[in-house]
Amino acid sequence: MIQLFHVSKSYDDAPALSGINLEIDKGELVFLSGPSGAGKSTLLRLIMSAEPPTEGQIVIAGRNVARIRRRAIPYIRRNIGVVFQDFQLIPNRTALENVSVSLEVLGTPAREVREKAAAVLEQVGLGQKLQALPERLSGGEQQRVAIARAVIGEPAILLADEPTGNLDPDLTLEVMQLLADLSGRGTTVVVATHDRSILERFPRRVIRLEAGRVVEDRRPHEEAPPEAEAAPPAEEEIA
Amino acid sequence: MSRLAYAFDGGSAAARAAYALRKAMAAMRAAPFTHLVAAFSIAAALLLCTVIGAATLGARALVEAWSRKGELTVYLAPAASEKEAERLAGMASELSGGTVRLVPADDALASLAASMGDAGKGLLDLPDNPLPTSLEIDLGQRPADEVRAIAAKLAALSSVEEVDAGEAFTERMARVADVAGGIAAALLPLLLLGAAVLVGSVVRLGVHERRREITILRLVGATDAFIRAPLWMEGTLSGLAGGLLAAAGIGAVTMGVGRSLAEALALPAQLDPGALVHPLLLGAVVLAGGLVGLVATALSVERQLR
Repeated sequence: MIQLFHVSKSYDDAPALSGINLEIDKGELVFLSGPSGAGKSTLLRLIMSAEPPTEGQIVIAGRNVARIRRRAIPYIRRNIGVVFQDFQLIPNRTALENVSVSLEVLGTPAREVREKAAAVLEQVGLGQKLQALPERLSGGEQQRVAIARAVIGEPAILLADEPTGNLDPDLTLEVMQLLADLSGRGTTVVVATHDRSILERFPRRVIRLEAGRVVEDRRPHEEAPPEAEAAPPAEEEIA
Repeated sequence: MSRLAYAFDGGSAAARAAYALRKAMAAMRAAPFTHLVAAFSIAAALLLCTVIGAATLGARALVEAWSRKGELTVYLAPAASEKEAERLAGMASELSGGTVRLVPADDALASLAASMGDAGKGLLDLPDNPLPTSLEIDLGQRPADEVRAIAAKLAALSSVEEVDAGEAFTERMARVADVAGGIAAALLPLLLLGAAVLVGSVVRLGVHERRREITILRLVGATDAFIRAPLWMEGTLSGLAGGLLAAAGIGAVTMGVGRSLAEALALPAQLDPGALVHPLLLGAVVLAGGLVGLVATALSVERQLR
């Protein structure tokens, strides 16, 4: 589902990522771990086409998004749900309206949007708070609204950047369980986190970054860190 | 891949338009005062444009009508006898093809005295009549060049002292109309530009306040067009509101002050303010307001959205 080939990213000649090779399968739940500044958020930003890589290729479901035209980026993003540590909710819109934006950009009729948004909020346990503004919701509830917004369009990929960074341990488990459930239903989920308790609680593949490089790619039940670098695809696959 | 295909689906254009309209209305409700100021500025600019423009066009039409009217006054030399005057009247009729009326000097003085009322009575006591015998020639509707050519021929006749084709007056009026038109041409774009800048600033302010929302919309896959549409709609609605206010203002001004002014000054038909209250013109004013709002918004937010 996600393939990165020799991906590097530099800001003013300062490398943020160097020679990243990765392959993440459909329905996988993958943790990106590492200290602050390791390049976890940069990697997520490249995958969501928020910015292009300096070098290399990023292939999402067979499409090379590293060299995509700017006008096509919105269409790629519709396939990628994103969840942030600071939730990124629109302050003056209700939970229902915040979730609705993902369908509104697709041109979905208003009635259908309302029905689907209410149903997704119900699924994440916020059925009673449809009309609540973000400021009236707890951190965990706000993050669940953000997750609902990310998944309502049934994206193939869900990227979460420190999604539990602002949550207490109970809410952290709650949110992580939601993400694990989504992965179980076929969504590819990539979670950037430096919370070791999450990695212990959810034994999934862990890709460890340090100074912009992959230093470990450990799959569940594996003892030693393997060299999990993907082979580059044939030209026709990229195109 | 089936999920990717779903996301590339075009969706409903009607739903997108409805979304843009809802968001534009919500933005206007959120900041009613600033939008009202923008609408009033457009209204003021359009009102002035329409009234000044119509007055300028009316004045030009009036000057054109005067220049086509073809009325000549031929003043005869004081020494011309009554017989000579009658001979010249015959020649003038033949030369011009118009209707010629001989006005003896005494009749001219009596007419002038009568037109001046009590103040004119003194004219009748003058020892010598200062007015000459004249010929008043009505040529009907003729091109200005033809009227000038006839005037030149009549001026060449013996015993003719002067021929007045009213050119001096119409030329003066034409100059006044030209100056007014020039001032209008310079002032009106500035007025419209000022109003457009104000509308653009109001919408730009809204973009600034909604920058977080716009960032989030981009994150969830909103296209540039999707983000622009509510802003353009907002500017257009402000402009249309300004156009409606301007149309109402034009109606009020022309039916109130304009009508009283027209009666008091006995303005000719070309300058009748009532002509402005025409559905087509008022509709054009409303549309012009919408267009100003749309263009101003499009230009002002384009750079901000990049």
